[in-house]
Amino acid sequence: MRTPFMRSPDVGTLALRLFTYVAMAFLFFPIVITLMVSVNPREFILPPTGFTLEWFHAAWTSDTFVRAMGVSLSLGLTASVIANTLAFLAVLAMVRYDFKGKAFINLLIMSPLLIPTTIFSLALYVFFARLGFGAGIPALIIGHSIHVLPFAVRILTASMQNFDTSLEEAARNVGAGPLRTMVSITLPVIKTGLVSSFVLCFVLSWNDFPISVFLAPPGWTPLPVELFSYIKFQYDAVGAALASSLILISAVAMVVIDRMAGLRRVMQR
Amino acid sequence: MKSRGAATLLAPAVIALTIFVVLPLLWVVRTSFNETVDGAYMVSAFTFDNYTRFLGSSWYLINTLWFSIRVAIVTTLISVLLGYPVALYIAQTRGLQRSILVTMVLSPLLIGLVTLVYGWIVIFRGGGLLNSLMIALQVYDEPVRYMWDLKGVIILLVYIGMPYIVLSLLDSIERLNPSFVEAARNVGANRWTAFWRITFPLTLPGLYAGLVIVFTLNFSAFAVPLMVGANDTQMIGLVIYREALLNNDLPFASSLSVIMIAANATILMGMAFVFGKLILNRLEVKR
Amino acid sequence: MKTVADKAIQVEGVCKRYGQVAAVNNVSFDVHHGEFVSLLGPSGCGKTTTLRMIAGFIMASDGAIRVNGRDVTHLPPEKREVGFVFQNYALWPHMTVAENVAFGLKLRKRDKAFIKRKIEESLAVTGLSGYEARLPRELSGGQQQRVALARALALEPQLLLMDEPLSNLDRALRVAMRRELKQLQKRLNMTTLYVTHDQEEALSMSDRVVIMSGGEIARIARPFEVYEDPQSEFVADFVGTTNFFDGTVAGVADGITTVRVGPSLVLHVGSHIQVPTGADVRVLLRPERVRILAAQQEGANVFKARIDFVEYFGPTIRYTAQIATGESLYIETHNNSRAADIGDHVWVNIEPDHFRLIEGRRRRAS
Repeated sequence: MRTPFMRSPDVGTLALRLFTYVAMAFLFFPIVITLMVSVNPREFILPPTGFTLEWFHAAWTSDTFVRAMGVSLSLGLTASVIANTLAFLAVLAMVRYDFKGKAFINLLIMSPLLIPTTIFSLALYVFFARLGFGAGIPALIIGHSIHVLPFAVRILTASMQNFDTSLEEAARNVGAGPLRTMVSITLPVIKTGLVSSFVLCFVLSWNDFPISVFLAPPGWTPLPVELFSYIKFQYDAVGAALASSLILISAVAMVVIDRMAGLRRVMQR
Repeated sequence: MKSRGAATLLAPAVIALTIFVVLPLLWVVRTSFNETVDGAYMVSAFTFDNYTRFLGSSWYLINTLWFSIRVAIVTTLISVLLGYPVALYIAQTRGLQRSILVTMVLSPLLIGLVTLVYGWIVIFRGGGLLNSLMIALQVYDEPVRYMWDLKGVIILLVYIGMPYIVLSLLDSIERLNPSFVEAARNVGANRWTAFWRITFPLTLPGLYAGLVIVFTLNFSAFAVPLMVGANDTQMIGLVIYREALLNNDLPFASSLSVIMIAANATILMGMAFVFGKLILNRLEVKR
Repeated sequence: MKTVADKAIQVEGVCKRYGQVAAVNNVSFDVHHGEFVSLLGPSGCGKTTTLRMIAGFIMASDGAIRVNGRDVTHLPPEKREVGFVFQNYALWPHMTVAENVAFGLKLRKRDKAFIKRKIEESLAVTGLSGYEARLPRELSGGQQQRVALARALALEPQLLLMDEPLSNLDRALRVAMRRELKQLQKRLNMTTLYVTHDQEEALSMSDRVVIMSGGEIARIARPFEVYEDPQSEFVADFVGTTNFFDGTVAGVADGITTVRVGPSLVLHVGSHIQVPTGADVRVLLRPERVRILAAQQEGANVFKARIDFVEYFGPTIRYTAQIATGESLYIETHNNSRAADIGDHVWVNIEPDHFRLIEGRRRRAS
């Protein structure tokens, strides 16, 4: 019997599939290679002949790298807190209120995404130089916060738009004031949005290179910049271990964000 | 009363963005007319020297501006050629396979540039994997240079540009009503004709969005040429970086930024004109 | 004569304007203690806006709202002490059934034993005992509806506002819940203001119905009055199906008003309102009031009609017919009466008292 609606994939689909897998291999090749090198006892000889955490140990005990991790960690956390606070308040206004010039405000809020990073970094660099600070910790934190702000706005907008305001009305109706309603109802309900927004902001800051290279002051170098200056001069598997650490942290973040907010919606420009 | 509530909520973000985005950008424009004295000190002035220094130099125009434009065009086109089929295929998948593919496509965006570059260097450097493999297979016997030249820059720009193309294409493919293609097949079009006459024109808005993003990113790139480029890959973003941070010539770096934005805007306007003229007018009616 | 204290809700001249547009315009009505009143109307008529103004989710632009004599017009919702059941239930998704019910009690700082007892009571009364630890998403639509009701009842409100609470349920469940809700309301003697667009719901549950149209009240009356004597074209059209005839009064005699419709149709209408001879009137007739005769008869209000279309509804059958003089006529009969087919000619008869008169002609269709 013929079943016209069920057919095995035809040549066109197979070709597309093959092409996609090759492209995926292209995308994933360097990541896989880095991971393999980082656990391979014999430096840069592939395929791996064994398994070792020696390089990871070296990377995670190096004073320079541990210090850089501390810098990246505090930078990422601070920038995330700042960006998410500003974003949450702004999103509340954008979603809940109608006012003139909304499109303009939206453009302003999204502008860090529209301006090439090179220009944005240079502008902050020139600006802080003019103010007399030059590159410094405040400039770096501000640069990162502003850079990740649009991403926070986007995730939080999605959660707030899906938020059913009758949940708040129901709370008001049984006697909760505005603040109590925010704390007991609104924030818990959009928790996944808040968490994924925070994680995304953190990981974008954690991995950022262009802004940091412009704005990081001497002695307070984030990990990617440190890694860059490291691999410029030496080439060993410790670098691979460090790169792998960054990859693994990003992977965890990606899973969290994807489960909670949908990675794709978040990353679209 | 209502709009005052909105104003209070918006104030922190708007003030921050005004001070740290708008003002700095304006300040860049102002700085571009300043003078640098003795190669280090910036003096307030109103001179076009920084502009004429760049625009009057055929070396800069050819090796920096025109070079950046060419690199951006080439890498954007390659990204499209690679990204379009991938988007088409992902659009056909469902469930777990789909989310794995989407995550893989997006991973270069979330994994830091330096980390990715590291992987490519392992593969491509002189004594790297590719050369070892090729020599072992006796394809050639001397290491070939893959990194620290134009090839490396192009590979990496494609690498980080392609995800954006796939993302915006996937969006417009999904928005496509599947019965459009079915209707075309029904009136006698084969798959190929249906693709070129129905799917492709209808995904042009998504393609356009992707092109704008990737072209702008690649045209202004500085980190990629900084990491894997060489003396002959002086993209304009890299020159800005060098002038600002290494030569401390902020006025010149600022004027380069202004030129870069102007050039980018001109090219995007041209692109908008072409796309608008050819196709979008017919599709954008609803918006 | 009822006094102020008898009134659980007083709405006086309430308006809600958005810019130039009035969503609710000068609406006034009362609800007495223990009474079940429905706000009925098509979507956009202002019924939900009115309800939400009473709950305080929307502030009135003008007018006054009193609950048990207390002016609440400018109070925030949390100060109004009225129960509210939402159309989409608005159950807090991160709280269990018990936590949903307890939230308001906790805000009132009641002691644990009291809260526990109250949860048990209100879940028992809504038939949800045993579901305390469930999350809202683990419940069916009907169960969620019950939680929403239990949450409102747990606070022992003197007044319950319900915004189309049954509209998200499928039909069978909706009818069952309708009866259950009404019985519960009677048992608790709970003053209820109920918004719905479903006329069947409004007619079957309410003591009185407030019909709204375009932000204004079209009619306040008991259900049978609304149906039997609509008094306006809008109400007649919105509630049930109606035959309309435009005509002129030809004479009044012996309690019968003679109305000439078109060139050759004359209707004899019971004089329930005073209309002068020569006045333009509309004659209203419910389809089920038309009787199909077994055989030809002589007399007033007997017409020959041709059946053009038949709709079988199960308990009833609706015929679309054309009277010999050209007017079209809906007829609705029980399905046990003699069935007619398309093309059949039948004789029909209408009692004079089954017509209703409205003065004036049809307004231009908008």
